[in-house]
Amino acid sequence: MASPNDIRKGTVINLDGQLWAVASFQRVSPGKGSSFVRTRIKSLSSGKLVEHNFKSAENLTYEDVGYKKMQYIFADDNTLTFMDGNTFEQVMIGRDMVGDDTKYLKEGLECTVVMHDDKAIAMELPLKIQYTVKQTDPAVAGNTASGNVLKDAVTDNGLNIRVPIFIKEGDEVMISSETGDYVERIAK
Amino acid sequence: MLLKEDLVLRAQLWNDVRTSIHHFFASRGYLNVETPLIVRSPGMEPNLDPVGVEVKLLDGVSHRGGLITSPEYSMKKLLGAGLEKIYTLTPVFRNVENMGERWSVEFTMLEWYQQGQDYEACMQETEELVNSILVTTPSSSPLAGGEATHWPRISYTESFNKYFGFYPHEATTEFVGEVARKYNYDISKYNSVALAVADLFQWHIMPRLESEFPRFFLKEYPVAEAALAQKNPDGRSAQRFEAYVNGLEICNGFTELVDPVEQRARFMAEAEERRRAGKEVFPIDEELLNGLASVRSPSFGNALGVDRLVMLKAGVKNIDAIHLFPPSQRF
Repeated sequence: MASPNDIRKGTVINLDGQLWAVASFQRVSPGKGSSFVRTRIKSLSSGKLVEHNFKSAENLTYEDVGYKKMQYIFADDNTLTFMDGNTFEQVMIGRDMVGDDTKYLKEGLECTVVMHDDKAIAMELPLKIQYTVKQTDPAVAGNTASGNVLKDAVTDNGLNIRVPIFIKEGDEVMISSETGDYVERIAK
Repeated sequence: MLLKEDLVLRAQLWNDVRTSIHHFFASRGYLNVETPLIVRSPGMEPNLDPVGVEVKLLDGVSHRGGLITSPEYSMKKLLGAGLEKIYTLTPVFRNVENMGERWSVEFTMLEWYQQGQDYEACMQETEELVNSILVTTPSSSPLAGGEATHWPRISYTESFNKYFGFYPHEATTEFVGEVARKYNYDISKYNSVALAVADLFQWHIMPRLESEFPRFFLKEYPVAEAALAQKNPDGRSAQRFEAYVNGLEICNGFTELVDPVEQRARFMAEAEERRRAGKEVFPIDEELLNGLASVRSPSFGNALGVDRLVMLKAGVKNIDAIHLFPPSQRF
């Protein structure tokens, strides 16, 4: 028995004998009501994706899964391919299980691949990912006015982000993969 | 450590927000007060976990206390002593929080109180304060949305009735059971109908409100979810509100309950709930109860999370992105 608070991407939950893998989740702690976990889960038998709320106090049964560090290599229409850097073993994960996280991927990025029954079912991104800023407009005088502190930028893998005005093309920046926010500039 | 440009930018952002807040309240005749951080009774709410501390005095005697989860008790004592309009900007501490994203064990709270006014006046003031601070947020920011105009006031109890066909105060095990069957929830997991009502609201109505309104107030809470607020005359709801800006809850305000007898009963119930949950039980703050009798009715109070306001102003959703010392990297 386990708590919904332990849910991660790729957690496999046994609900009345049916196996569901967590595609995405969000913990919600309302000021007074009981906290819960809002999830999108995918049936491992039918492939159907549904939304489901788990109360934090609920007892759940999880199936055993394994976690493997693997590098992202490439994508095609329906799948994303990852490779084990030591054994060169390759696995594929459906785009529907990765969802919006796909935009953070770049070649060579080390991710955590979730394995169930020798099959890759999901992947977790690192919490923070380093990118090179490929395109951003120079800071314009006057833009430093109170509050107007972010501007648009595009990273080396085509991700659209917002960065502080002092960021220049070629700078290395750290981005949160949870919210897409700029976290910090990295010294070169 | 962050690099210099990041540190300067974040410090400036906080300075701007703090300056705006002080200016706003000074121009409305509020007195800025400071309240203690280490107290004997840091908070009784069963859902909060104060950070406990040991205070040692020179005479060798140790005192058990805690860091405040909110300056509320001290603020209400000042009201009891006759102060009419007060505000404070203070660090507060809460254990067992998710670190990162929008939570931190330590954050900055703005609390303000006014005697002789109810929560409608407080909502008006909150709206004006937040609009004045977010006015310079760039329109291209993903969190900036919303005009600096009147925010809709959404009634919790009315929207609940509209959606489910009954009011929270009418909720019975049968009503809630019917809804639970319809949506395939296991209702046996609930100890009380009130908790089920709260979850139904959070799961079914809240996401709709958040996607429809960039800025809004949720008001007229079920009495069971607003034990420290004055009841509305119809008895269906209580005068509690929360403000939401781009899906982020930023404050929680009341027309305050100022009845010391009711407050004592509530504290005792909360202490019992804490005991049952195996949590540390702090002593009831008698100085607060003594003072409450002198607070006029109505009086409003509001607690606003300043970190979240700074996040909105910066146009970010991650609390790490506004701090010089990012919370998720502290422990």
